[in-house]
Amino acid sequence: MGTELLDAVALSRLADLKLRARTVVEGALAGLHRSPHHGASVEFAEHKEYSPGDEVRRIDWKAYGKFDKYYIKRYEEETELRGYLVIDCSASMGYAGKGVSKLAYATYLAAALAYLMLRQQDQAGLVAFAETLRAYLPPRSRSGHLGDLLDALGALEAKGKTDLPRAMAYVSDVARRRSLIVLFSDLLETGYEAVHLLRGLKARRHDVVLFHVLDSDELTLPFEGPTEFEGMEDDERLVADPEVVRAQYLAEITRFTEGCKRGCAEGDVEYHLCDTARPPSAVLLDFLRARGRGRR
Amino acid sequence: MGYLAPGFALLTALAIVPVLLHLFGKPRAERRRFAALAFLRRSDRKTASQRRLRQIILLVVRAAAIGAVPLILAKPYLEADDTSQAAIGIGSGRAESAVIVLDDSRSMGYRRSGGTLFDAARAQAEKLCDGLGSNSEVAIVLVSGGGPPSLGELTPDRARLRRALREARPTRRPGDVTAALKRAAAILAVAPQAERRVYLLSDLAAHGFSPETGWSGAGPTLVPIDVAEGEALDNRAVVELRVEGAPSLGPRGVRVEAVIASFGALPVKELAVTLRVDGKAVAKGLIDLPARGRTSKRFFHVFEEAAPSPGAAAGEETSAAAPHDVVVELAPDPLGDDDRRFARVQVRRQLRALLVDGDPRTIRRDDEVFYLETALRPGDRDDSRIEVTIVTMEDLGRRPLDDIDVIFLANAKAPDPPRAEALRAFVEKGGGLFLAVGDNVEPEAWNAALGDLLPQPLATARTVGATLKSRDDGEARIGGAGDHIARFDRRHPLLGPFAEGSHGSAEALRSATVGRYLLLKPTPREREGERQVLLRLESGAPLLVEGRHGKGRVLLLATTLDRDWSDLAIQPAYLPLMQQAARHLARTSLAEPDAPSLVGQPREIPLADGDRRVEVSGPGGAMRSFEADRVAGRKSLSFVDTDEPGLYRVSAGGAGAGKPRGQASFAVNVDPPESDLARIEPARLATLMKAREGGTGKTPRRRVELWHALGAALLGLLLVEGVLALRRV
Repeated sequence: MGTELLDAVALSRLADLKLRARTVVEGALAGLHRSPHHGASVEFAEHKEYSPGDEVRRIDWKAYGKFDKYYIKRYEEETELRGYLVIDCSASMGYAGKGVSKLAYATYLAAALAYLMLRQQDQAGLVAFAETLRAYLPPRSRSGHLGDLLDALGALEAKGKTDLPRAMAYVSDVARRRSLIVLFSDLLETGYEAVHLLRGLKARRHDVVLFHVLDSDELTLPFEGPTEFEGMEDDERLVADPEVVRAQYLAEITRFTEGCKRGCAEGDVEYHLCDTARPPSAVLLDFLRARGRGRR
Repeated sequence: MGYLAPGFALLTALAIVPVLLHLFGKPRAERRRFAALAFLRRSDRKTASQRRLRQIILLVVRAAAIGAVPLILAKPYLEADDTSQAAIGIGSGRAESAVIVLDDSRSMGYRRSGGTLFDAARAQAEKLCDGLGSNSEVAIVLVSGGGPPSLGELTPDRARLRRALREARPTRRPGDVTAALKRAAAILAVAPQAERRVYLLSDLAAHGFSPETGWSGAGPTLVPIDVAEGEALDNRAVVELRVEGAPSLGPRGVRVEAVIASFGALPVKELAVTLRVDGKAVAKGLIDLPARGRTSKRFFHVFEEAAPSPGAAAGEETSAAAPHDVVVELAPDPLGDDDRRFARVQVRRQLRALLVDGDPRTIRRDDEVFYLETALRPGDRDDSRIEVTIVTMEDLGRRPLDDIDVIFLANAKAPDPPRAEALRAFVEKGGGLFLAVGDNVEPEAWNAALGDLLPQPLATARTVGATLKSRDDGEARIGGAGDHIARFDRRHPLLGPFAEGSHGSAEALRSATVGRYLLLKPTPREREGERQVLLRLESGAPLLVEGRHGKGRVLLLATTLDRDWSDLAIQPAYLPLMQQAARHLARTSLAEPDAPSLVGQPREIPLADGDRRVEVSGPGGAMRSFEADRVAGRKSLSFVDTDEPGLYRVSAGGAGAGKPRGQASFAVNVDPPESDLARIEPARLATLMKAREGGTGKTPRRRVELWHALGAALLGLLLVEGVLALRRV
């Protein structure tokens, strides 16, 4: 497979989601030019009293000499980051143009992030929603949790309408501690309201990231000839000539994405526009770079 | 419109195809599920109106383009009257006999950017002459008949023809096209060539054609040529001017009424109208004229008193009339001759009153009319502007009353039938009669003689106080303290000076004491409306009553004009009352207006016995002199050179230089119908032509092919369609 960035279609050909997640992560980390196993940013953070089950090799013997007690050294990456991967599973996320659906794309990204987080001993959880809560896995860092997460992600289906306020309320409820909240959604039904909700989470000291997943068709309207468009979350129809309305549509969708981006920036919410034609690794790489910049 | 290949024209119906395709042939839309439908709908809504407009334009363009193709193949054309020389056979070199009927009537003076219509007609006539075959013979007939002699016989001499055309001038006379065409037909009746034509060069104004057609059977071909080339010729004119007396403005006040007509298709707003008197603008106004309608404009003017003309004949213009020039003019338009209308007004210099003394005395102050004469001519001064003549009733029958404005009958016996008839005729013609009673007035005799003239029949006298005679005879005790004026009509012009606050007051009237007065019988019911009581005594008896008869007025004073029955004559109110009565009763201050003179009509100039030479100067300054052989011993002179509208001055006298004679001067106006430049209806012209052509009745027609223009239009449509379609892509 190498380290080249595979696009979503190529990833979809891989056998299971775990492999896809690892591929995405490795592609992204290769882009960072860092060790995939021990980040250069591993820094001493605090001492923790030894308890059974801790690795004996991590005991700080110097501290034992001073205090006559066993202490374990804890490093930065070892702090228990809680991450909530929040995925919009509404019907609109099921739109697939020439490649994978937006939901599939979102699961790739979410799986990769979960893989990355768990590998760093962080806790990763999952909230999948549409009108109702579809799946919830609380954040865990144990080794078997990744399998649970990937299974849950793989079982997601795009259907129903979006109720983002409800989902955000749920996340806000379960994420009592300061957490990383990552939302994967197309925001088509909620619009700017989603941005306001995310800004509300940010105001509660959560670290909030938005992956705005849109299909390439939605960003370019490449169709030709008179077309009868059907809504994905309702029964509405519209007969239009894409060639005639394209310019106006592109102006509208650009205004929308720019508005979301500006709204997120104003609320210190990290925003990533994800065109499904783009390799997920590239998106993850952008994310990691942005995180790296933020940490420095 | 016609078609060379009419079958193709039927295929124009194919233009419906794009419409049908648009309605029923919409392409099947591909179905597609799409998540961002809300954005798409918003975009579609914003572009919908623009898209619909473009679709409609595209539809129309496509339908027109498809319809144009069979239309072009059908080769459509239009037919129009062709007045070009080639079309009417000029320049073909064929020999023909032709008469050029050149319209030189006033309407041809209409000015356009390139000159007058007459200039255009003459230029076209010259072209016609040049284009005729060398063996052609041509005559020229002028429409008005008032210009220089036209070339009335056929001639092949081109130089002579050109000279005749050069000499032709537009006139201010009306034109009679029908008569000119008849003359042309008569000339061609003996023409040598078989090809005979009458070329009518005219504005084709309808007023020039009379209803008759004449000239039936085979005749020459009539070729009418509209020198105005169909252009709408708007015009405004003063078509009528009336000057009448305005008594409310005094003896020299006049009302000038002008009727202004618009002969254009559009209404005219705020058209300036000016009144000029003796060359000076004295009033201006603005009027709105409806399209092809008329409006009257009234001016009021008071003529100033002028010194008599030094050259006036004895008696003339001193008491009779002082003539004035009155002109009403409009803002200039392309046809200028009818923008002004002229009138001569003769205003009487003085009011002439005839006092019939019913009780003349050798002692002047005892005379019946002593106080009246003094009141009408105070201090014998001439500035009262009333010329007073005193006569007895016997003299009344011996003198004419035509130059008298008002007659005062003071305590006169009832006139005999001839005098009564003269007085009746005088009042009927507009004269004023003032009847004051007295001891000589026998009511029944007066009722019998002039009962129809009197406002109310006379009854018996009633004594209510002291009279002069009774005082002299020591009978002052009879009748008590006398009666006074109680009521008077303040709105009546005669009593205006006695209204409160004005000069003289009601007290001046009420201070008079009437000792004796004549009672009046009730007015007959049928004459009730003609009577008006102006002064009424405290007893309720009328003292001054006004009546009407014919054009004149009659005032009846139920007491004496001297001091016999009342002391009114020595009251301050007496003088203004008598002056006002004289002015109120006087007939119009204007002399009878002259009969209107029109351009081209002869004018009779009255001559005096000693006249040996008469000079008439026209509006342009040109002078015509008439010597003794035309003047001496004649009553009048017929002046025919009235070709210019305006004011003509007449001087007359002995063999030397003549003296201005204002009363003989006169105004000449243009004929109003010539101002209407509306063209003859095509159907009527066709009828005339038919009659003159022996039934063919067709003017040369010119075919205007339309398919080239349609082809160009099709290319344009395709271009537009391409641009619209490209924009869509």
